[in-house]
Amino acid sequence: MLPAKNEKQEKAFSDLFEKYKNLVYKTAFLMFGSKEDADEALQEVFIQVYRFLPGYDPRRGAMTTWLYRITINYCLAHRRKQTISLEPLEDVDILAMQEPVETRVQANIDRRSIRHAIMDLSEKQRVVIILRYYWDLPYKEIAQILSIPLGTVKSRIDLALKTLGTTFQLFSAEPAKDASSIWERVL
Amino acid sequence: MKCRQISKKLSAYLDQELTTGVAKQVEEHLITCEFCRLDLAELRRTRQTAAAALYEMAASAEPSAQAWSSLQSRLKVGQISHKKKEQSWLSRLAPGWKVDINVGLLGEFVMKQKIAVLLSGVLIFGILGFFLTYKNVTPVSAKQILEKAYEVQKAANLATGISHIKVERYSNYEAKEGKDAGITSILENYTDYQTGNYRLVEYFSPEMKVRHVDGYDGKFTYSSDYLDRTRKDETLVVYRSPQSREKLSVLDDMGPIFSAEETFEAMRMDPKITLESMMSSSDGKKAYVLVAVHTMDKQYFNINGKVSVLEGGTSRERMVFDASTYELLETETTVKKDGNEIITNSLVFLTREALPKDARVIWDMTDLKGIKLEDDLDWTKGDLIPEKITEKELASQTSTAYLLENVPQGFELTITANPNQKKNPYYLYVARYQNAAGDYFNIQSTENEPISQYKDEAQEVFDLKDGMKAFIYNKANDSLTGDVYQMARVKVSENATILINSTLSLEKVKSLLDGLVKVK
Repeated sequence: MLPAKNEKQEKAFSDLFEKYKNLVYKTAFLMFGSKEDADEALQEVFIQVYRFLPGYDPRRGAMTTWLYRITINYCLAHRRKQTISLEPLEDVDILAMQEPVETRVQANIDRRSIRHAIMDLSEKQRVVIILRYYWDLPYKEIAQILSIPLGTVKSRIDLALKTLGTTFQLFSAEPAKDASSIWERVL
Repeated sequence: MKCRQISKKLSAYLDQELTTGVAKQVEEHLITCEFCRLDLAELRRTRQTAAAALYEMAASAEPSAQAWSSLQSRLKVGQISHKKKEQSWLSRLAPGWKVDINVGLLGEFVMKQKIAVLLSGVLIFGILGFFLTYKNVTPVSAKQILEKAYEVQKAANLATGISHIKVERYSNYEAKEGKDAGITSILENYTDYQTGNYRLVEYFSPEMKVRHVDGYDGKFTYSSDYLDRTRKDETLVVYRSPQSREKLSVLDDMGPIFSAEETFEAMRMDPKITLESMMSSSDGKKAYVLVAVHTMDKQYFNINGKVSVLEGGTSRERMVFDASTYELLETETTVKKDGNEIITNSLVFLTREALPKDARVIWDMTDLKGIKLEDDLDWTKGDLIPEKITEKELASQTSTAYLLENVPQGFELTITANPNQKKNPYYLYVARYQNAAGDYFNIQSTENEPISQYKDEAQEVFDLKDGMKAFIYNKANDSLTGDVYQMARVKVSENATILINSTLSLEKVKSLLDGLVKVK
């Protein structure tokens, strides 16, 4: 039923999917906090990709920028009812295993709280945190993806970090210094 | 720099996104200021904590193994095509502009364009309501309404099959009150996307007397007068005008095929449209009701010489969508008049199906009763379909046509114009430059409004050669296709104006405009 798409186009599209499915999926997952929503996003975004691929002009920007943009636009347009169904924490933190139980439990609480803090950020703030601290994108690219000025990127990141900083402190039973030291070792 | 200023720059400093000069200033301040050093340390911890948390969250998130095959099946079902939308000017919208209304159905040709950003995908649903925001408007033709309905249907009909849609329409544009206020009619349409044949017949309901006819059978265009209520007893005259299929531009590049779901989602994203409710029917079906509120200017209706007025205000347009298929089921537009909510327009979809491609459809209208078929061999009476014409033919038809001096590399030029333009206040044509990627640069003639009407809304104004002046407008986003359009209005002479719209960048548009010349 589809208009005949030649084999070459089909192969290009499937290569694109393989190469970038994680980019789309993980971004959506970090935005929504739910695997179901990320599954849906993956489909919807690649349907858009399929549709607009011929119109994609590499001179206008990198493929990844384009993909991030479609994904983020999708996520922002599909605000999910916000009780983020956080996946149960897997107890695979090797380092934590070396700690006594109490600290491990505390660490789990902290981890869950930290996740919550991130998910509690406004979408605009969460987006920049994800693009900067998960994907390590430079501010300039973030500005391109979101179609906002560079200055706005800077201030949003700054605000988001400060918001998180406050929340992290509130959640950790220990002084902030110790809670984050667990993470420093993970890194 | 003071601590407050430094504080705002710390995260960018850690991310190494400050310029060397500013970074140095921050460092110098940090040397002497313990508070800021503490802030920096905290910020550093927060960054690391956040990054680690994100890494951990994302580590467990992988697309399912079935994702690819699900996608494949969805692509087939949705039958998504990636062709760009054809900018057919006859009844569709040049993106970002309000529609050119062809009111040939009332025997008058009125064209109005205003600058507004409208989702072209919203048109089908907005079309019944938005036209009310015009001044001096006259009702939109049934053909325009259903053309948009086709877009929703196209997904199911692509490549094979003939689409068949039947709607019941109620119109009461003047918001009259009382039992006999409006007219109810049935519109039945068949469209064969393969051949380009189409048939639209409107009947007065319940009598089923033919009110209007529009069609093409491969050799002839059928078009008719339009009987209003006062002429119900007359016999409708249907003109049959010869038009060859090769010259018609309708079939080329049929545009993006949006599934009903995509159209629904695009409308959902329009800030002016809200989800009002979800309804359930007694047989268990569910439907979404979306509402768009439009502001209306005062309007004047000129029906057969009689002018009536509808005061300004707001109109409310409700659209009912099937919650599982996203198909549009019904629309209804209401206005408030003297405290009462009056229906000015409504549409109910009775049939929506895809017939097999060899289904027998009487394209030549010979089955219609109560009409008079008249040959219009010299194209003076019928409403014709726009045809592809050459630059030479364009020059011979009008002295105020403008094109680019040279066709840009990689682009192809197609000029379309309606062969029968005697009724028009100005010669209407569209010159479309398009490349293989689907980018386009369109020039179309438009009403020659005084500059004062639109110059203030322009983002940029600049001069072109020979005294021409260009007014650039806000980029428009077609939220359905995701395309970003540049728009411009160019006053080419004392008595002519043209519209430009393009998916190319602003710089490219400006440089192309340098090559704008009058066609001789």
